[in-house]
Amino acid sequence: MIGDVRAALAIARKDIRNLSRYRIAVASMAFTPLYQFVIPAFLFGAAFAVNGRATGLTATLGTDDLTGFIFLGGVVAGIVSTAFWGMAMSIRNEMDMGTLEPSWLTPTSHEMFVIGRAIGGMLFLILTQAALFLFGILFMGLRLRPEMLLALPAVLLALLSMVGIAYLLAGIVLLIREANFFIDTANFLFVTISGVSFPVTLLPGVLQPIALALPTTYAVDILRVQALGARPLFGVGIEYGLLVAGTAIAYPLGRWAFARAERTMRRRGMLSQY
Amino acid sequence: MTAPAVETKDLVKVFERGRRTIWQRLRREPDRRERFSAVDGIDLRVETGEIFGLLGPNGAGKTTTMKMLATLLIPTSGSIRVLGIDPLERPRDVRARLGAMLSGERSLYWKLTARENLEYFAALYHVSPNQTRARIERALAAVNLSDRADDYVERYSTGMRQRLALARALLPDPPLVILDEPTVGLDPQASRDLRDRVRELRAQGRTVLLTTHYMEEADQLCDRVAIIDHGRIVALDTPAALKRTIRAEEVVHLELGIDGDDRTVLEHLGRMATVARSERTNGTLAVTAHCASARDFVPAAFDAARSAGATIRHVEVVPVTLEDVFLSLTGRALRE
Ligand SMILES: Nc1ncnc2c1ncn2[C@@H]1O[C@H](COP(=O)(O)OP(=O)(O)OP(=O)(O)O)[C@@H](O)[C@H]1O
Ligand SMILES: [Mg+2]
Repeated sequence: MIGDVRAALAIARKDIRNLSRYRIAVASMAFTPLYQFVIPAFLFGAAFAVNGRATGLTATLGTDDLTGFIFLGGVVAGIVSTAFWGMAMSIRNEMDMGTLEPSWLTPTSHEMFVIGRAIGGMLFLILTQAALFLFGILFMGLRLRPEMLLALPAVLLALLSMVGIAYLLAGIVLLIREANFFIDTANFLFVTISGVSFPVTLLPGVLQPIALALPTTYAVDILRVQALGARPLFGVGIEYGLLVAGTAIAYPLGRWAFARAERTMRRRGMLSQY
Repeated sequence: MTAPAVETKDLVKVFERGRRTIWQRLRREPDRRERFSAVDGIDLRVETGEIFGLLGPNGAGKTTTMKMLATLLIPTSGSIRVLGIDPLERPRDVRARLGAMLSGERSLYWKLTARENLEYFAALYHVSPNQTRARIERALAAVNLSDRADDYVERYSTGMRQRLALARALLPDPPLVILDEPTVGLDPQASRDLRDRVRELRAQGRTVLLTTHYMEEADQLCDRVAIIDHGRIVALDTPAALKRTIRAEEVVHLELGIDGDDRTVLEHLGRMATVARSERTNGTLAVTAHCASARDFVPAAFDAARSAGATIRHVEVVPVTLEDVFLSLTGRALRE
């Protein structure tokens, strides 16, 4: 047990070390959300603003702080992509590189390869989010209420539930051929449906139930309520309940799927097919 | 009597060739994938302290066997004991005691140094932090890499990477080491060096099970060799005993120039020696013959060729090798 914990920390440290050897790639990774998501969303919102006020946003959410709305969405988008790319896809990348097999040959529980990456991914997430917030404050007039810190438990819960989902995703990408395409698409859909760049109430009707089933929907909602004083979807208390429930379902489900995928790989001998 | 380091009974692994799409699955179409046995009933018993080799051509099932021992593959049927443990029931206990080097240089982090690689894997092997340093130094020393430990792996040669992969396998201080084609892709010098390292492992009291398709390697390095072909063991003994099975002292390779039918000349040669292999390409006939004495056989072969209207263009006399054993057992060369 203690050995597994040390192994998880070693996985996180190795990932960060490995990243530190690719400085430029990492810097560009940290700023991708900025030009891929934050700035376009901001410009889009600004284009539809009336006299510089996001009147539409006020009508649906009770706040017109477009910048705050988008940056907080960015936090959840960051959590989601940490799970999709950092925790799940990176295992597949190691399989393709050939380094997963020797890791699989050690007595470390294979679940630790997800957990270790969750730890490393979280550190990376904190750093990139801090950089993004700094950018927002300095150049985009981002102002946040200190009450925002009250939403921290929601962020942590969302992260935890995403670890569960990362298990599931890791199980999938270890088995399928088009892993990159799958993660890219699924990540985009997940982020969009969570209401990261616009209120979920504006989603087409068929997508609404899906949105309400995603834990990230509530995390981003609670964040905006606490930090911007936005109107909640259902009320913070209920949403916390739903977040806990989502985590309680996602975690065992993900672990089950991961264990199944692992067994399939051991049956078919897929660990080193390149 | 100590328990064997590795024991398998009637080990079988069946693979499916091809893919079954989700479509076919959803429509419940019959499964048309071809099934074939990569490992087809292998009984092995590797004794503690020996270097045991699995020798066989490409696709013989060597890697598949190793992966089943290393818990990476679930056998279709049969039983396995690794150091007395069943890898199906207690895979993590097997992994904790087993040093495995299955794929060489690609299995390392090239952007990390050798030491960083080993630190990482030591943690995965659950080596306790206060032992890690010493363990890493020992592993590096065992493969002669101590002075290059802080270089990035990307700066290493292939042979050095292969040695580092071996060092990694030594991190758990394993009583049993399994090596899949440890010298593949290495130049002769690096291969020799790696074989010396493997002998040292035996000197330290470890058991080594390795695969190879180089017969010299099996011959020089292994205490016992199992020759495997199409997923089955076709012979198993010490290299010397295996070579004795083909009742010949010497092997003669002949190249003959011949225009017409080659049956007569082969028949003549067959009376004086065992023709292990013959291959005809246009006007050239290549023959491998096993004989008691080349001194007697070669002059007689010239006479036989002349009387059959053929000319001998090239003669080569070589000692018996495991290659010849494989040839006599399967009728094929190890490398084709
Ligand atoms: N995961 C797999 N799925 C399907 N077939 C496989 C799989 N792994 C191996 N095979 C097939 O099983 C047979 C035995 O392969 P194996 O890798 O064990 O041979 P080998 O003796 O190690 O050969 P080589 O000298 O080429 O390494 C081959 O025909 C190979 O194509
Ligand atoms: Mg092989």
